[in-house]
Amino acid sequence: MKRKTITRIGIAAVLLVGLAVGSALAQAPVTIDFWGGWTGPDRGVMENLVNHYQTQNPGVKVNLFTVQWTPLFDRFLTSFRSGEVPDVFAMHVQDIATFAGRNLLQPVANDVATAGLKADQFAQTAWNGTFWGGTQYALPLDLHMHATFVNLDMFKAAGLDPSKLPTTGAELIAAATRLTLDQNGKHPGENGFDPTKVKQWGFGINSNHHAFYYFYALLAQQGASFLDPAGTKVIVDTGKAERAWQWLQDLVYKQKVVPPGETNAFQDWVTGRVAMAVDGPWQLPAAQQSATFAWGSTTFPNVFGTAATWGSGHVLTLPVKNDPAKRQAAIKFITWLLNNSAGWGTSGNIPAMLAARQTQEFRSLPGRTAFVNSLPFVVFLPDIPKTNQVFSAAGPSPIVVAAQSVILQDAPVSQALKQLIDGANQILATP
Amino acid sequence: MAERAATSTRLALRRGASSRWYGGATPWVFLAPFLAAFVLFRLGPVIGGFFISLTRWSIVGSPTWVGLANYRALLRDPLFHTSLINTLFFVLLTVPAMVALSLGLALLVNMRLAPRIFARTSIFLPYVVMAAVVGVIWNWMLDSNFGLVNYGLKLVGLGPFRWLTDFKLAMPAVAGVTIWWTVGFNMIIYLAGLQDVPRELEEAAMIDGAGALAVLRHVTLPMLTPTTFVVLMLTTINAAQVFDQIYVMTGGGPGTSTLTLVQYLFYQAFQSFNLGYGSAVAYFVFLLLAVFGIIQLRLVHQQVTS
Amino acid sequence: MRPSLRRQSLQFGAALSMIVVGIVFLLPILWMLITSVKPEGQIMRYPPEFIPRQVTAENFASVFRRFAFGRWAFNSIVVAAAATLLVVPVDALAGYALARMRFPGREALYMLILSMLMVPLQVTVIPLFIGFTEVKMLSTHWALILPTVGNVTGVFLLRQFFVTVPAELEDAGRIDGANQFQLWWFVMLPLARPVMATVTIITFMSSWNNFLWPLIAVSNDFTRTLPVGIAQFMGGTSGASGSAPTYGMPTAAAAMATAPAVVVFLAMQRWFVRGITTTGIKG
Repeated sequence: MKRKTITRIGIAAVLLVGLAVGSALAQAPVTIDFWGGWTGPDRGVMENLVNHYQTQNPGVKVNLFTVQWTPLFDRFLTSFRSGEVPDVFAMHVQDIATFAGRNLLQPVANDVATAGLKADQFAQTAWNGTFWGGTQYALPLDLHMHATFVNLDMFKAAGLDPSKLPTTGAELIAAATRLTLDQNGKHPGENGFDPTKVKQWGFGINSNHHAFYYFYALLAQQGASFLDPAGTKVIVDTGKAERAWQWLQDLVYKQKVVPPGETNAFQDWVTGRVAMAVDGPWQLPAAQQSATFAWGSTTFPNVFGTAATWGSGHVLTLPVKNDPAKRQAAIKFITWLLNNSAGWGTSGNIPAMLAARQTQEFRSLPGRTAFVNSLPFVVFLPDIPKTNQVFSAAGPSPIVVAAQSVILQDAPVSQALKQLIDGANQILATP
Repeated sequence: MAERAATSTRLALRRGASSRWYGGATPWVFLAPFLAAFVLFRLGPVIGGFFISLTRWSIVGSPTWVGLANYRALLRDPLFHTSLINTLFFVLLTVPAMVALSLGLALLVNMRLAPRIFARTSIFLPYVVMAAVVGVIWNWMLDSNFGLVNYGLKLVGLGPFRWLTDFKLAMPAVAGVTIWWTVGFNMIIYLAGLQDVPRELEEAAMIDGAGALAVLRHVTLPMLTPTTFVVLMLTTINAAQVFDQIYVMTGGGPGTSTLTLVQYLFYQAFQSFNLGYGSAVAYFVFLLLAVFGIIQLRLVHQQVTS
Repeated sequence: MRPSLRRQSLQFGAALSMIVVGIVFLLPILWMLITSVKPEGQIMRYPPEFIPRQVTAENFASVFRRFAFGRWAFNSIVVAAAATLLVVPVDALAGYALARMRFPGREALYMLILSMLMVPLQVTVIPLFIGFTEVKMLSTHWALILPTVGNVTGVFLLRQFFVTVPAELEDAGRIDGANQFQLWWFVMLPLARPVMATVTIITFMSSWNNFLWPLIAVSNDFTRTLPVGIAQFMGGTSGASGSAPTYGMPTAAAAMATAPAVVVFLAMQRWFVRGITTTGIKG
């Protein structure tokens, strides 16, 4: 008798629990996992956008996870084994092949159609960058590229016209020379100039992987490419390549307008150590917050005749997953994000959506002009499955080693170039 | 006289402590919990890692078997050679300094004086700081233009030094940061060892007229031999596998001047997605350390089991 | 009279050295704390400002407001504490057996165990990941706790210590009729306190600061630990295509992340008191 009662109670309990769980699940919000590599103030901007979306859409929960790009990619790859794949995955334009080439991304043509998004709503370069091998794998969020930050107060103090900022290589060097002052107020090239006692430098450049990006742009300015169209080997014209590296190296050691051993051009600029510095728009919020002087921006110098500047862009992808409900929610979120990307513009990145750039919100942001003006001549790194290996930003990668030898060590340019080409070819050759 | 006899008996007994023979299950019962965890979470994965090193694999998809090809390629790889030389350089820069300094600090901090807790805590404190934070702090401190270190040196008329961008200074800079970061760890090992040196011995020697230095040389240091062995071994093994601080401070640069073996492993396995090739580097490290370890153990084994 | 004066000045010199050394070691950490209370816009200044012009708690508040910092800290504490509580007795048992019991294969086993110290841990991350995926234990606290129990350093330190203990102590205990376990518990462990304190500290730190494995093993905030959590806003180097580094929030988070580990160390301090190991040989 007792046993039967207990059994009955047991069954009832299980049913009740099952009902509770079932109904809870039925009402559970849809959760989207959104991963990106933003770890600076831009993370904060994305966070605000995500929170905004959740407030407007109470049935949806968006989990934002960010960590630096390299560990992020490792996490992403391992997630396919453990089945915890994110719903929306951000990356750069040149990373698409790395993941699409491993069949980890879903083609988005249908989703684009359903969402009503069209190519003419976006900057052409950004839109084109979302395709690989003829298939569209991503949606463009923004573009970012190099430009030169300028300290206008120093400009005026040096007797230069702040409304005529340098745009060519020659103009840049002329201005930078005027802006480089040693303790006695002498400029490089003048008698008595002491390069060991400089109190203000004219120009700042980074010596990390970004220095390779300057080189890459200077190649494009000469109409040269680094890799063959298939991305299987290096075909760069050595003459043009050496000229590009030499121009950069001369800034430090011949023109003496760049401080030797410089690590962080932007930091030097915002603290008043250099008058001009090349960096990306992600530094704009820091400039707004920390610069204690009047400032502006101009385009990356056109040294060799055809304007070109390195750039990239953040794109949003849909990793391969078998969950139609989440995919729908993901697309809805992405569409909202793109339509509200003027807000993303406060992070410094330039929204890819044309309408976003027309809004008052975006236009009122300071310092963006040079970056927006650069849009027509942005060049991306090649988008091949081995991009993250050949053009790796990690220390020992051939592009970083070459950049540092040329800029930090004053190594002979031909030697650095040869090492770069050999290193890149070796990576491209291994299966 | 009688005291001295008793003292030397204790010393003698200390060295040759013998252990008894056990048949049966008892030792294994004692070892079981550790062995279970060890096999599951250490030995197993290490063997797994070795199998991965015999393949070509980029985390996603299936691995492709390549046998010893990765190892052969490594032998011809100039970056691998560079990382080997850099690692040896790093070991030479840090290990002797670390052993000597941690011993000295332990002796200092062991004295029964008022500031000892402050000193002990301050010296150890860096050890609890995470690698990423160490990177943030020291990239800032060693900055050529804005760093505190160069600022301080400027006040005495030296510098400025391009600590992290000069090809010749980067490794010494990283070595210096490493010593700041981990000398506290070795110091507490020495401190634990010092607790084992009976005060009576030291005091007996001093009563007999020996000066502090002589006591150090003839009483304290010999009794610390096992501890020194531990510190030496752990420091060398850790130095050979240095990674965290290099990753956050220089990433192996400038150029390849701070590229160490494990840094190269990480670059290949986790930054270039060549998991098999990167893992092979690890087993080379193991081989090198195993050879070193065998030599050292032989030497000490002779001493301990006399 | 004279030895006393000399002794006093030596002691004074030693005390002074202790203070100076302490300050030198603390300096970078102090600098981090000072940076963490400055408003972000005032951090990159030259010459460096030791005394902040403005002090703010904004960086700290920001961390709590925007991130599940409390949850991460809780996870880190739970994982590190559990790991340490498991490791110390387990390693003490194993170390004792390896040091004081002779059995066939002992030396080979010890060599095998030690040899694991010589393999860079990074290679174990993917195999561990595959293993935990198979048993569906990813993103659990146990996934973070258990691998630490396989750590070898503790066994190494304890074994080295137990080898140095005189045999008389055990023999005396055996004559009194104690079995092996009682010998271990009542005779060996009390002697090993300083070493066990060391192992406690080392294990706690090792677990606390672990980054790569928790990054791969955990995919939600619920189980995430501090190092992975705060990496979300540790920009590292600038221009890693896209992010500008900030210093305020990372240093604030770092300061808070360091505190519990400091507490553990301070708690273990009193175990380093000389005299506990006065050898039991009394005549």
